Amino acid sequence: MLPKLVKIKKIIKENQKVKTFIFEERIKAIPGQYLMIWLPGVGEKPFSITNPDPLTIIIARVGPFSTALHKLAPGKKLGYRGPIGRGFKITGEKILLVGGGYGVAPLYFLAQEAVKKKKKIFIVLGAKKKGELLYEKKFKKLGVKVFITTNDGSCGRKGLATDIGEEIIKKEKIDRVYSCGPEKMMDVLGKICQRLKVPCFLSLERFMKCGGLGICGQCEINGVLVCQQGPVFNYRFLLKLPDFGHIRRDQAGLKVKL
Amino acid sequence: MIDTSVILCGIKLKNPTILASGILGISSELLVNVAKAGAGAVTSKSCGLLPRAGHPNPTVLAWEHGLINAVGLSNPGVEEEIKELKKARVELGKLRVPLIASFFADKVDNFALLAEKLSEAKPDFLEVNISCPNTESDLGRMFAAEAKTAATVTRAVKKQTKIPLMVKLSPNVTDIKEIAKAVEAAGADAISAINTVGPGMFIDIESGRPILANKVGGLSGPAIRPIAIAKVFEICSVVKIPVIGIGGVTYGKDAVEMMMAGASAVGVGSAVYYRGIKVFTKINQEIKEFMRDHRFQKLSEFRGIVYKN
Repeated sequence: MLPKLVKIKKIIKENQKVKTFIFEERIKAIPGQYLMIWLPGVGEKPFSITNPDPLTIIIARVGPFSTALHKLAPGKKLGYRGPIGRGFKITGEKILLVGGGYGVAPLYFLAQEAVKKKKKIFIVLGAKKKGELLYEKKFKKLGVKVFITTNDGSCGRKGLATDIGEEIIKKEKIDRVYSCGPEKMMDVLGKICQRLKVPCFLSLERFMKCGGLGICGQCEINGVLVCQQGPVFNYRFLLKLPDFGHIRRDQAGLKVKL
Repeated sequence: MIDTSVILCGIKLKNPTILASGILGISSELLVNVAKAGAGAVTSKSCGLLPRAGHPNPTVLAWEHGLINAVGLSNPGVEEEIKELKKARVELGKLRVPLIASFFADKVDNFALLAEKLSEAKPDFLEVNISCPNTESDLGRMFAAEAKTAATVTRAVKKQTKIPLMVKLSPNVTDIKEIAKAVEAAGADAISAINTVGPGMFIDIESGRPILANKVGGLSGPAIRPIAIAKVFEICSVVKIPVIGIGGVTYGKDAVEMMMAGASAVGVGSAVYYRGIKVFTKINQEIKEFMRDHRFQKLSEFRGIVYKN
């Protein structure tokens, strides 16, 4: 599967760091799956699918590659390979989504599918500050009950997404939790779910070299390939991996702290 | 009783499938997983003296008939590698799956230094990778390009270690027989062949740009199998040391073909993409089925049979 080039139809600036890219393309995918996005001559990195039809991804400006992507205008073309990986299985009736920062990317796709399945859906949107919150209106439009939390209290409740998440799980008798965001946050969330005996599924991020083909091993966590066995994992499974929540590999394959 | 075990330089492999270098061999846990998935031996990803990021992405592509890669020898450097290999050694020992430690360098002295350092981790074999096709711009011309340079590296490495040494050769040469003879004369205990073919190139016709960031890369997988078979056949016609046949082995029948060309064992790499990590068990099972159907008891009964027919 070589990269397929598709035209950017629309770019929406969500905040200072994040843009939504909509393409002239529709794909079939499962929420939680990802694409390898290629900017010819610059690089290739994995991105969660935010919407399969029209194909939509969220790009946060975090390094040189995403900075180059942010400079693009509608009409330009990007390549993609995918969809790749194991996504979220939507089970349970009352589900809680917890999105940390741009971790909302796969959760929006998940929420759309869960709405079709008539699930009762709650979401905690967490960010450092008000300007970094994403997709609040979009989730509300889907009929999802939205809770906002910021670390500095500039919007919604001051605190951590996991604190408010715990309250909702208890109060609403949540029976499934799905999350994407900083790994440390997801580790805390997983522990809460473990304690409350609620199944919890997390979407992880790792540096990928071979483009999700499952052969380079660069994305591994204690022998588990995030690119193919994930990126979505049951927290119960992740508990067996000592490096989860702590360690990732850089481009050379050196272990570095998260 | 059908027996697919192999003795390689005095070391027993339960079956002839060996994880080829550069595939999954980045951590001790992955090497152990591959061993548990049925590999007869496992090779770690080639390491160098210092950490190395390799080429930018895209580095690997799957196309209709195989893979192409220009990973560029990314690795965490020998100090980290030794720790990882030591951990792997303990677990692999319990499984009785030998460990092959692969390494590369930019000059002869560094090959020797790496051999000395890696020997500390006590792998069952060392594999000296003198045939990466994607690193000429910074590491210089591959040492496998000529008989003389290939032999010089082999001799220098052999001086530093008592561990059996495999030398990995490139198909992208004028006369692989000369090179094979030279490394055998220089003391190589085994030859692994072939490294990737090419380089090859893919251009995206929408953007008019090369797809691989390195522009070109080495070909592997089913497309190169006939080349690998021919090279192994040529090598085995001139050397007495065992040869590990690598290149496009995906099914048991491919492994049988490779051994009929004279290989003592087979490397499996790209096939992990096509058939998953269990490919090792599958290939071994398919070899056994072939042997049952053809009334063979041991691999040696058909190894190199092509020379006799």
